[in-house]
Amino acid sequence: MPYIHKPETTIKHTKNIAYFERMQSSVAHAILLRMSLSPKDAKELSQLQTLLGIFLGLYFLAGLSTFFLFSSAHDKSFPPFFHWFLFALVPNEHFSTQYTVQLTAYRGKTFTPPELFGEANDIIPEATANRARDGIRHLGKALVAGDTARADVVRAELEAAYFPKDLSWQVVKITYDPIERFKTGTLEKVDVLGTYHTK
Amino acid sequence: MKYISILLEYIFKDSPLRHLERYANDSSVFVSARTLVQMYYFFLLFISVALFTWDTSFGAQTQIETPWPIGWIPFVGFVAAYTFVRIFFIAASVLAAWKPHWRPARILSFVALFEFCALYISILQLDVDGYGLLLTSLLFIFLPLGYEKMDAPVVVRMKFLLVFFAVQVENLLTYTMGGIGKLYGAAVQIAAGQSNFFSLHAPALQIADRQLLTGVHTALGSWAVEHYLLIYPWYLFTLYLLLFSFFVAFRPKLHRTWGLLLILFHVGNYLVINIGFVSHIFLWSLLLLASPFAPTKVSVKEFLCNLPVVDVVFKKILR
Repeated sequence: MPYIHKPETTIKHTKNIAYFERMQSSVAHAILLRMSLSPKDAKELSQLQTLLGIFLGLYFLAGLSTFFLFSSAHDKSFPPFFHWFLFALVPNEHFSTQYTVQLTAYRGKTFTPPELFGEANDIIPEATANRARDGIRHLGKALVAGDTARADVVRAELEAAYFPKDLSWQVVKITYDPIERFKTGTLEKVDVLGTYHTK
Repeated sequence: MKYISILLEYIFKDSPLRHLERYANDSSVFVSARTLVQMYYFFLLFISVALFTWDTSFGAQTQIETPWPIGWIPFVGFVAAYTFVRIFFIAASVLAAWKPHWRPARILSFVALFEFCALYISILQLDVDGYGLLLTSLLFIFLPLGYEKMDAPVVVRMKFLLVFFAVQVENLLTYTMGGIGKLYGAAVQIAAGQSNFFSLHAPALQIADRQLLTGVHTALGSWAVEHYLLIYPWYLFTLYLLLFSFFVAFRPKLHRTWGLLLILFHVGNYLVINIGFVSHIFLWSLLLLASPFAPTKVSVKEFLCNLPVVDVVFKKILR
């Protein structure tokens, strides 16, 4: 005989409530589904709730763990798991750093002082592209790590994608106070990591 | 054990889970949630076509980072892979928009979105805006069979609403994780004696640095750097907003207003640091502003007396 649903207000004690009462821990009690379903339906619903609960718990733990398991600032993601620690650290006014590129000469014209990549819209059409910035960051890290093979690959990709011909440029690590640099353009320190010329 | 029970009761006392059958028997709630799911797949269809122009000129970037979902790209060539991922995403989105109740369509839509998001964060745009959509699509796979029927049995309706609620919880949980991150970062920087989240000039440092990194001068960025003290209260409030988002899922009376606050949070970020998180703005419109669990009217007193943690104070003041 098929189960006929009855509104919950007409049912005070049903088998499924007993089923839940048997299995409930304090947690289950707190988030207990109040319902008047057949035992089979109640069990299916309970299983779905458990599955979703496990997924949420797993996502929370696995997501947070990506922050601590992966060392690099940007690589701290294992799609679809992510820690969501966005802007967790406040930039430091004494030693904020950034890998970037400074342009020293273009078509025979020398820049004094050198022009930073992100500000050279007149020379590089995609000077503010996120992916260009990320490529430069990878290049800087590879140079600091002494990984010349990777540095060569990334440099070639950057040159092919963004840099015009006859451009002299340097990969640099700049140190600055964000507010001061934002207002006046002042950099505290510029460390040159590599010098190149795109023919 | 007693205290754990008290805590759980505090968190879950108004949870939609406890009233799932009542919601399932309320046709307006069920139909509303079902429409929202359909709208979600319409949105995926929209972004699958509209998000980017057809541009394969950045193929050189494919060697820089290939997250595991697109680890196959170097073997087939970037242009072919990009073309495949885009067309797959569009086709799967059309299918899911047409038949969202068909589980294979939702599975295909999720896989296509997953591939697209991996491509998006690695090559096209370095942000995680798509992750919220990804989690939503993943959970929507679990929507029950037969929910599209007008006379769907109550158990099907309950399963449907349970999954919808899990999507709300999941997305809100990511914001709580963000809040935990800010607390963690503040603790690390306080221990190191550095400027930290609670420093008065922290908003100015964040906003100035972000504009310098991106090279984009935003609508209110310069103003915000100069007048950081004016925005400091909102800046602090966002920590509360993020940290306790998870708990709001279990308090339907807060859904709509909290959704509005999260949207304002993203709009504010867009105006000062050029991070829009457009997918999340859409998701909060769908999941919280239009939450099927939210009551039609919520008084100011009810709102204040439901706010996580501070409700204890408001209940004493306003009783």
